[in-house]
Amino acid sequence: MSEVRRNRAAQAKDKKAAFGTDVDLLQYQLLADHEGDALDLEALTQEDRDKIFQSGVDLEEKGRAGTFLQADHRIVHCAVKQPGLEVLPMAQALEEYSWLEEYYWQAVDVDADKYTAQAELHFQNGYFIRALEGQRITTPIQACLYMKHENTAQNVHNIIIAEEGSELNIISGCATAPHLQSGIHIGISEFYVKRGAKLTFTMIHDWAEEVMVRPRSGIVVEEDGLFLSNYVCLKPVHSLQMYPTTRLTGPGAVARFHSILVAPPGCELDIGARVVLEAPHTRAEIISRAITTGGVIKARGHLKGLKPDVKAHLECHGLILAEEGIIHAIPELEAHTAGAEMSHEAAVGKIAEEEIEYLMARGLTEEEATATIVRGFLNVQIEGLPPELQAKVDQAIEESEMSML
Amino acid sequence: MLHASAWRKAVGTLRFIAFSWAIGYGRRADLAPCVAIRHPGQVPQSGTRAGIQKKCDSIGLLLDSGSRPARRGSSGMTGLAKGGFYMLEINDLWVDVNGEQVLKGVNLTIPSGETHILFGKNGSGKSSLLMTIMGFRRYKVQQGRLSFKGQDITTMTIDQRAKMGIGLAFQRPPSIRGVKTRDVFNICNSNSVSCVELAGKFEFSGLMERELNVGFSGGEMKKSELLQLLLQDPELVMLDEPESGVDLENLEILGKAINKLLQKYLWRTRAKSGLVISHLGFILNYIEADTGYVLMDGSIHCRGNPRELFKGIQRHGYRECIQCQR
Repeated sequence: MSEVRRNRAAQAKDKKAAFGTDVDLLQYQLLADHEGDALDLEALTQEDRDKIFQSGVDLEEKGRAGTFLQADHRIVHCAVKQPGLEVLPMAQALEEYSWLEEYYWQAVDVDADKYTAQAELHFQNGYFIRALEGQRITTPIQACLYMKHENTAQNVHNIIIAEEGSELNIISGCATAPHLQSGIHIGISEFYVKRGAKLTFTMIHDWAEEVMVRPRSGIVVEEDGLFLSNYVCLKPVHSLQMYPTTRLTGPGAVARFHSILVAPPGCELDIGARVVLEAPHTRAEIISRAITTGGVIKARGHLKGLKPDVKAHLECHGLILAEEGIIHAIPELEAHTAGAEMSHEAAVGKIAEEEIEYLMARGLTEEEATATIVRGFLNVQIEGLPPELQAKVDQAIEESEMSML
Repeated sequence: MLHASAWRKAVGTLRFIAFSWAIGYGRRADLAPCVAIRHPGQVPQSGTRAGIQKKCDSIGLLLDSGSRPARRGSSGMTGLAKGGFYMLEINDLWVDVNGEQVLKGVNLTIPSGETHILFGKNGSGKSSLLMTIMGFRRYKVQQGRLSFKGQDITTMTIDQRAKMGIGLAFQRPPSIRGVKTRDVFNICNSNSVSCVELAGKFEFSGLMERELNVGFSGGEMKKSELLQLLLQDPELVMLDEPESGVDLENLEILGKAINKLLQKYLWRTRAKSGLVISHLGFILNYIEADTGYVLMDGSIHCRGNPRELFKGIQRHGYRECIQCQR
């Protein structure tokens, strides 16, 4: 089994991805087990802690049901505070659970492109999070993948399983050390939402200006399951490309994607979400808010309705705050049956003068009025998101506003 | 037999009517119903003057009598704002929007404590005048001067004017996605009034958490505009068709808000001034209007008692008003 997989990966190791700038993976160092600084939680500098905190991960672990922290290729901390919940390093989980093979590389193809191939050929751990059947873990679990070593590749593989009738709320922060400039992060994430389960995944990214990021995710949602993804990327990154695919396999399954993106000059974000509605009465929603202050944003979305009585909506709103910025919205609707109800809405442009002047008539200066509108634009109230995670998203937005305007 | 409380209510209403008459109609007894404005280059033709006068009389208009509308003598107010200036003074204002002349030599003076009304057909320049006073950048002043409380505001930015005390309730306010109505109310709130309380009083609480004007009905937008102005508490209150699109029940509530804005019942100490655009004239029931104007094709053609003027317009249309001055 694993032999076949490795062969497939080896054959795909030079395969270009369908989207995004092609990255030469050879220019990044692959740290071996004995290389790099060994870290434990106490050894983290205050600077590291601050960076990790900004991406939503609180090392004090207050109000968290579990924590996972990996720096480069090494596990720094892994803890569970609640019964019914499992948080393990992926290598350990693979060792302990032979059944995990049934999930490993099942939602993402190992030979999809050179990045998935590298994640298989140079596996560097990652996390395994699981809520046992019927366990509603409402307190958030935090996971952080931190890059500290200059010009290296971080290749992680994560699996998240919400068993039948369970609930999981995960906040995942990815960040780089303050002085790190360049590197590549490859993250495979496979999500399995079982019958009647609910999984909320909130991801806040805080990379560095020369970092390349290639997440590869796959999601499977069964009958009456709910998958909610929130992605926030407000800090500069050189190039980030991802286009996760979600399969709604059981009737009543729901997936919702919200992303909030800001691209400063020199930054390229190519971000989308694809949902395949394979069962009747499934629903999907993809909503993105994109702002460019000089960078390039490609906001993709693809809804594929295969069965009748499905409902899906795709929405992209883009604001161009600088002359040289580019926003390219690429929405796709694909209905294979007459009973699929699918819609999309896209609007890209600068802030309407009329709105600015309206607020000025209420006493705000032009800058204040612009800031208010931008804040409102980014302020996506995410349905079903626990207040604590919403507060984290709000905080990240607030911090970025300062630098943006 | 009438119940005692019903009696008290009836007596109260009568008192109120008497009071309104005393401050309203009594005060305006010496006011000329209308003064037609003579434009430069327009010479009244003496031969037909008597005939036109007769016609004008019948619609409640007077030819240029040379007098300004009388100010409140009884209250002892001069109509001048603090420092001895008018609240608003507009001299020979010419304004252009995208190359089109929308105002052509408007002259208008609003003393402190007075409310003036603008009548006129669609496209006559009423909204343009308000937008220009507020300072919207599309409205380019080609010539003339605007001053507020004696200070030249012609080149000031919108927010500077707002901070000085000019407020506008928009006819068609924009929808702002993501910005909650509550946030905009807080922006307006200059006197730390409880927004929640105010919203409750005007049956607006349900809309506070909604995005501003997104999916609002016409009436809801008007209400939102007026409540924002109440919070802003400007000295010069400009209302652009506050009653259009509002149902009868809400008209009453809006009337209340407008009363409050323009201090209808504070006639002795009233310091607020108003400039109001009205199509339907309903608004006259809710405010104490001192002077009315008819705007036609970018300039003011008549000035007079707003009720009389409105009656005349109802009976004979705007065209007659212009006929009158020729």
